[in-house]
This record gives sequence, C-alpha cells and structure tokens, in this order.
Amino acid sequence: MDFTPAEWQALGLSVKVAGIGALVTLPLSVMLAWILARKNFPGKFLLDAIVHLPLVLPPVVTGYVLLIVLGTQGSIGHWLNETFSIRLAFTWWGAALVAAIMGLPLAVRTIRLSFEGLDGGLAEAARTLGHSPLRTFCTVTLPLLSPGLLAGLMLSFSRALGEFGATITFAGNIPGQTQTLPLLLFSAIQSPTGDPMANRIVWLCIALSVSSLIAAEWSARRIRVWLTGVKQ
Amino acid sequence: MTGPTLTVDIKQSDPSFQLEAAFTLSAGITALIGRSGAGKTMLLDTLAGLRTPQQGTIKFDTTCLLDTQAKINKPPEQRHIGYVFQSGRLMPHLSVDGNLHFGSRRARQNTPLASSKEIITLLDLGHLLTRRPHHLSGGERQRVAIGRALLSAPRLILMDEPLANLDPARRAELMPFLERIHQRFALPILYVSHNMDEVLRLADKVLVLKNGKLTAQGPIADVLNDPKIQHYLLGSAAQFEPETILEVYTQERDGNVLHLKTALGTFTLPHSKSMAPTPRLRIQARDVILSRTEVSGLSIRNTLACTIKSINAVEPGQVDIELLATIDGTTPQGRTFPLWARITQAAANELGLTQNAPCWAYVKASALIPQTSKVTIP
Repeated sequence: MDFTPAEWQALGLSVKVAGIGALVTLPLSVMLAWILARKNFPGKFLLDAIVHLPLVLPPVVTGYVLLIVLGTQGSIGHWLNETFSIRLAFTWWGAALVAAIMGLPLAVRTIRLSFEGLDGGLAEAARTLGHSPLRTFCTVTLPLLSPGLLAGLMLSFSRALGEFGATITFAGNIPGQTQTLPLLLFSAIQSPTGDPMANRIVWLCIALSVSSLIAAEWSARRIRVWLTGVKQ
Repeated sequence: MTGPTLTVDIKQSDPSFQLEAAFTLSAGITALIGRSGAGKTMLLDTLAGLRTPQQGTIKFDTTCLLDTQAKINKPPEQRHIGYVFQSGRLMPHLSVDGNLHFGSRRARQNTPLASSKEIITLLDLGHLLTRRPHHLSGGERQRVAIGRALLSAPRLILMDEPLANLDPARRAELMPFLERIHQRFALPILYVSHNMDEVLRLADKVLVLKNGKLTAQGPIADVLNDPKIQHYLLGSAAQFEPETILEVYTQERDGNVLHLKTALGTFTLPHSKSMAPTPRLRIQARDVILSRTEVSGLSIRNTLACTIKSINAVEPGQVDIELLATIDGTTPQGRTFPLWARITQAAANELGLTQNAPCWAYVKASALIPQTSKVTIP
C-alpha cells in the first residue's frame, strides 16, 4: 500500500497533537483526581461536573465554546494574541489544546479510581519514617499510582486520536496544520474520488490504534514488574 | 526515672471516638492491652501524629510534640517515633534493602541506634536484602518492618500487634528477635497485643485501655492479678477462668531442673532446651488443688498455706475460690499473695469451704511449664 505524503503528514500530526494533549493533561488530571479523591469541600460536586463536561457535551459544543472564549475575537484569545502573540484557534496548538480538554475527564476518572484504591497506610508509614507530605507523594504515592497514570494517559491519548467535532470547530481542517487522520478521512469521504484514500486512512488508523494498544500493554507489564518485583 | 521518657496526657471526646489517657513511658517494653475497639491503635496513631486529639500534651523529655493549648502539633515526620504496623506496610516497589533504608535520611540527622549492619544481623535479614516484600513470608515482612523502624533512628517505638497476622509457629520464631531488641536498645517501646503469653513474656509494664480510657497501669503482675482487669480482658463469663501471674525473681538451673524463685516460693520445673525463657509464670485456677489439711506423700511439691477470701459460683456447677497465700517474703501486697482455685461446687460443699477458713493449696509444677505455642509445624 502506497501512502501519499498528505496521509503521512496527517498521521504524524495525529500522533503529535494527541501525544502533547495527553501529556499536558496528565499533571492537571493528577491534581484534580487527588482533590476529588481526597478532599471534601463545598462545591466539590460543581468541580466534578465541570471536569466531566467535555465528556457529556457534544464535542461541537465544546469546540464552539472554545472558539468563543479563545478565538482571536474571544475574551481570553484576544488578550493572549495582543500580549503574547499566541494564537490558538486554527493552529495545531489549538488542536492539541482540544485533545487535552477532551481527554481530561477520562484521565481524571481513571486516576481518581487509582487514588481511591491506594493504601493510605503506606503514605502514613512514610510520614512516620521522616518523609514530608511532598516527599511522601513523590516517593510513595506517585510510584504506586503509576499503573493508573499509564491507564489515564492511554485513555486520553486514544480519545484525542479519534477527536473530530471539537477539533474541526475550533482548529479547523487545515492540511499540515490541524488536519489529523479523522479530519483527512472526512475530507476524503467528501471528495467524489476519495474512496481509495479513505481506505488507506482506515488502515492507518487501525495500525496506529493497535500499536498504541500493544505499547500500552507492554508498558503496563513493565510497570507491574517494577512495582511488585513479580515476573509473569 | 532514668533514660528517655515520653509523657502523655490526652483527651478526646468525640461521640464516635473517645480517648483519655495520661501516662509516661520509659525505656523497656510497655504492653498496651484492651479488647478490640478499646482504642489501642487510635492511641498509637495519636502518639505518632497521624491523628490529633482535641486536647492534650505529648512530650518527649523536654521536647514538646503536641500541646493543643499552645497550638503546637509536630507532624509525624518530625516526631522521631518509629511505628511498626500490624500489617507491616512495606513499600511494594522497593527491595528489602530499600525498605530498610527508607527512613535512614532522618537517621543521618539523628544519632542512629546502631549501624545498619548490626540491625540487619540482629534481625537476620542479610540474605533477604535484594528481595521484594511480595516474596517474603509474613514473619520476614514483620522483621523488615521492625528493622525499618529501628534504622530510622527513633527515640521511641510503637508496635501495633506486630505478630497478630502470624501463625503460632511464626510468632514463636519472632519473639526472640523482639527480646533481643529489648535487651540491646534502651528505648521505650509501646507494644499492643491481644496475646497474654506475648505480654507476659516480653513486657515490663502494662497499660490497660477500656472504651478509650486508660483504666490501669503499672508492673505486669500488679495490674493483671486484679480480678476486675482479668474479667475485662479475658472475656465473657462462660469462658473466663481466673489466673495468677507470678514474677520470676531468679532462675537457677540445677542439672535437668530449673528452680524459679517467686513470691509464692520456689517452683521446680523440668528444664528443656525448647522451653522459652520465663520472666513470669501463669497459674490457671484449675491447676490449683485445695485441701483442708496439710497432706503428705503427694507428688506435688509446692504447698501453700492460704485463707479463703471469697467464693464465687460460676456455671456450670463450679466455684472460683479467691485465696490469700501466706508467703515468706514481702510483696507489694504485703505478706500475702492472691491466688485463684477453680473446683466443683460439690467438692467445695464436701470440704466445707467457707470464707476466712484456712486451707492448703497445691500447685502442680508441670502445669506451669511455659508454652509459647500449642501448635508447632515441624
């Protein structure tokens, strides 16, 4: 199968956008998951709802809201453009931002479950052994959380790979800029002669998904061995 | 009082959790006992700084760890209190070596108790260093947990039933390690236990917690010979059998027998290598035989002149007789020592036992042979 440069470009862009989006989401997800799992405060329900919004809203709505707020005419977008000359709408950075936002609820949910399943006794033990709360978080909580972190990363990455509605609304469908695989597939389907291309993209998508699944499984196994010392 | 001392006076009156305790801890093992739910772990967590009581003070020598009035509350990492948890709580992602040295950052600031080499040898951990907790037996895990606490240069150690999750054989295996720690380090150790034999063998003093309140404290025999305390600790009336706890003052080996000097005279027990060392003897009421007259020609060697203090009926058809044995030396109780005997109601009637009547008590020495566990797996 011969892939055209446009298809290779879309593949590279997909990986870049989803990868950066997932990595940006991770620290924020850990923080939000920790707050939601461990803290009780008035308005917790509201925070929980806001985190989940991108999951339940139609993606086009999310994209449109982003456009209103972060577009060059939007309140924050205008300010960003004026002060730092940063443009998010219709750039690949915008596509990565969409990827991050759409993956956030999935990552938070997964990592939160990990937090809740964590044996708090180990952190207590670390404290009695002279570790400050921050040190305990780094030496005990994060390592034990690593399977959850990987799962969260994986889910948000996969979600971002398939992202369509919010991306096309906020970042557009610009070849080489924001045209990821799903968007290129959409263009191919629109074109009367696009069937062969659509076919190839489907194969590319399958290959990408399967290889990321394999990579995730391999990493999960490595983490498990590192965490418990048990080889299977 | 000599050596380092922890002074505690705390009060917490939540409907769900009450705690009221004032005591001092000095070097040596102090057992903390009480029924499940009495607040033992709660008290340890409070001392370690994992919980904060509503009011109170905790001081180590002159260092204040907690003073609710002065708003001082040192976090756990600044209290220098080692904590051995019931389930070990080893870090699964670290090797035994990594676990042992997990707290040694602090040890670099403090004076360490001993070199890590010595502690590893003391607990016989040398061959386990590269293993992960997952690959350790229950007893090995607890040894690592104890080693980890010792290596963090603590000034006090809390142990929350470190042997509770182990089978009797493992428990017997671990006791000598605890005895070694006791002998080697002049540390105050607060040791929670549900096991009477463990307490009698390891501890010097005892604290009794009941519904969150410290109800008794002092030397083991003084506290545990109190019938009220025994009743509280040893459970429901149906199974309860009073017992007498005797401090062994001196142990002398003479060929294949041991002479144990106690307040009730010298007991001669057969000596065997497998026998655990005995700081205390425990006489169960059913092992005491009564007679109205002094009998000769018995195989039993220990004879005590007594007066009957009280007779308490226990079902079914049995009586517990509280005796005061006359003794040669003096004890905190004076020239008498409390002793319990359990006989049948019929026997008590036949002998005509009444309050204040004199009688003779006989204790079969073989009933006193200390057993660390009744179950052993070869």
